[in-house]
Amino acid sequence: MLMAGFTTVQSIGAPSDVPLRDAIARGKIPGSRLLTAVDPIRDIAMTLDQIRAHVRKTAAGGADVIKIFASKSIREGGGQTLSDQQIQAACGEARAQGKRVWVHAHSAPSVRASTLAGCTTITHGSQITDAEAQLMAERATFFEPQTGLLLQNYLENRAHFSGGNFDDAGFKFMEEGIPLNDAMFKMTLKHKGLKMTMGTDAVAGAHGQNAREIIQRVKLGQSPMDAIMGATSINAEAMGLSDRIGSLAPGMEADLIAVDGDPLTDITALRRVVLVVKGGVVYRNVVPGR
Amino acid sequence: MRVQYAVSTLAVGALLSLGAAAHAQQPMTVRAGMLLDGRGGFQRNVLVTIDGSKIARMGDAGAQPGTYDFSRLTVLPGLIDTHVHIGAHFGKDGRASNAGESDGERALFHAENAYTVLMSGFTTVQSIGQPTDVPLREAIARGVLPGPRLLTSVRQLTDTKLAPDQIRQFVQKTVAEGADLIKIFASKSIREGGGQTLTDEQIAAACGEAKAQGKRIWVHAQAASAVRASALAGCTAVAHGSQIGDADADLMAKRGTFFEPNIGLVSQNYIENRPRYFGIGNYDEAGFKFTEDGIPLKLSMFKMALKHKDLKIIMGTDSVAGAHGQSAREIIYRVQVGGQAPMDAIVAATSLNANALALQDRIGTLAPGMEADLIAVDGDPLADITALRRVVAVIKGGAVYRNVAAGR
Repeated sequence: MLMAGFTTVQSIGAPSDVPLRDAIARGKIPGSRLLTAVDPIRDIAMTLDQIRAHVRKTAAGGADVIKIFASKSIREGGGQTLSDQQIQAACGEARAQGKRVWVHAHSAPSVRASTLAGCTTITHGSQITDAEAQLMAERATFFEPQTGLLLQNYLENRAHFSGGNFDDAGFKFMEEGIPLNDAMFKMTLKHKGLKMTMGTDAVAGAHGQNAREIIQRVKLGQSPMDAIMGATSINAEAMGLSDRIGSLAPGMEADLIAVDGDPLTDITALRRVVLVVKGGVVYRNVVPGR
Repeated sequence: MRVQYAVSTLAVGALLSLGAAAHAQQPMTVRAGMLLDGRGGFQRNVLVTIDGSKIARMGDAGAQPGTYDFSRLTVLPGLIDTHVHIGAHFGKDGRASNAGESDGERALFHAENAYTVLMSGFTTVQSIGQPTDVPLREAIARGVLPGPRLLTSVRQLTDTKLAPDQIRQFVQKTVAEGADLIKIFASKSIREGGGQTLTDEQIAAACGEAKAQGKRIWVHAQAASAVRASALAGCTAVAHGSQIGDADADLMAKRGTFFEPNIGLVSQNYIENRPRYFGIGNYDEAGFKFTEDGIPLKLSMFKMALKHKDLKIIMGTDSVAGAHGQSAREIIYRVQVGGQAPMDAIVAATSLNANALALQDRIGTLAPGMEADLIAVDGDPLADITALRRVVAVIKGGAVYRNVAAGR
């Protein structure tokens, strides 16, 4: 991902992310600045106190962010799973611990509950309407839709994923999800106050292709500059890192890339990364066209 | 018919590349201000054409800048180290004992070493050798993890009680585990005096079986008797040899045995990192005294060995924790302190090492048909060998892994 021009990524998350994050931070292994959720909450049988305890344990274990699943997977219809109270417990406790919370939520009710609970960011949101977009904008909740890479990558690598809920029904949900996501994204673009972050949900097969999400968003009508800000300064704000990364200005970390072309007129230039500098160190420097 | 087939293959290739790196098919060129070919030759202002992973052509550059303009730099084959311990690292507690590490943490330390080594201009290293080297070798070979081409012995034979048949079985088992070579200890560590441990018969069994399996074999041998037995047994290479005399150097030269002295990095690194090693096994007061005393002894041994013009002196460092990425120190020490000619020292670390790895058809020399493993250094290493530590660019198999401004 570093060589693809992504100098910071947030991983949603596995315990093995912690040594990886620390190894990259030592500066001896090339990689993106890594933030991780370590251990997401999925268990709907947890009591409110157990959820709070899990948040504290995950934070103490080195998590940069808390991740909870408030709805089912899109391959299972995406309905709300955690109760409103469970979502409140997770997001409230994370705030008390000084941590951000990323909420996996497809269905409109789960998005509403997460927004009202003051969670930092809603991811996916495939089934939301104008009302939820409006609510997120009003509550300054970051919204991270995925339109251009995640489902496409599953379909492109279908044979590598089959098993579990990656069955015929699951793949059908995903195929049908692409146009639904597109329509939802176009709807959200009308909400000018909505803080749209750029996250891909990249899984096996997708790493290094993150820019496809930005390119698809522009194809769907987002302005190139807005899409680029989504992937830089707005993302930095959503990570609580806006004073260090995400904009080029004196005093900021020297994280910068050079691309071949003008992405404001041809957004695919973001896939032609010729130079990657992270923290002032040159990790990639090739001639355009190589 | 033949022509038609070629055309349709090309068409398919072009389709497959759409959307990916559509340009990767086009050759790229590297312009070298000076080029050392790894076999002792040098030329000025050379244009190297790289097609895919290999060197397609080399010729006068004229005024062309090339895809990569290294006209102020010296280009030479990617360096080769025949003896590293790629897994050796200082752990979370900063010690060489690596206490309390998970498998994942260990794998990341190994990846760090691999990256550090590649960035220092070493595009191929041979690891002496642990089982975790195998997945590391495969990960690097997949092309995503940046690291040098890696060869490994997987494990090392240290048990002196094995019967010759058991030794042969050890060799067979290690080959089956994916070893590129066999490594045996025929003498004690220098920290324990270096005396011969395996009998001549045991050495002969190991080297004979390795040969039968089509594998090379590296012998750790400090004592003169262990070196002699290994040379006579037809072993591929003898490492260390700190206690050899003229007769042993002569014997290795006559038998075509590669000799890999380690005089410029391994002992120095132990001493520089003494607190990180001290108290582990034989890294005690007596061990460090042997190590310190060994440095001048190894230096005079090396000067003696240099007089044997037919002796194939290869470049291996025995890099352990703390030394990775500094392999060029061995070359620099051999030239600046040991008195070896810079060109000879560079040939050792390139084409001669490739010979010792049986990879001379693919690496170690810059010539058409060879893998495009090449580095650019800031300065003329023939005039100032320390230029080898100022690596500006690293290309392995035609892929650019490092390309920074000189002085960065």
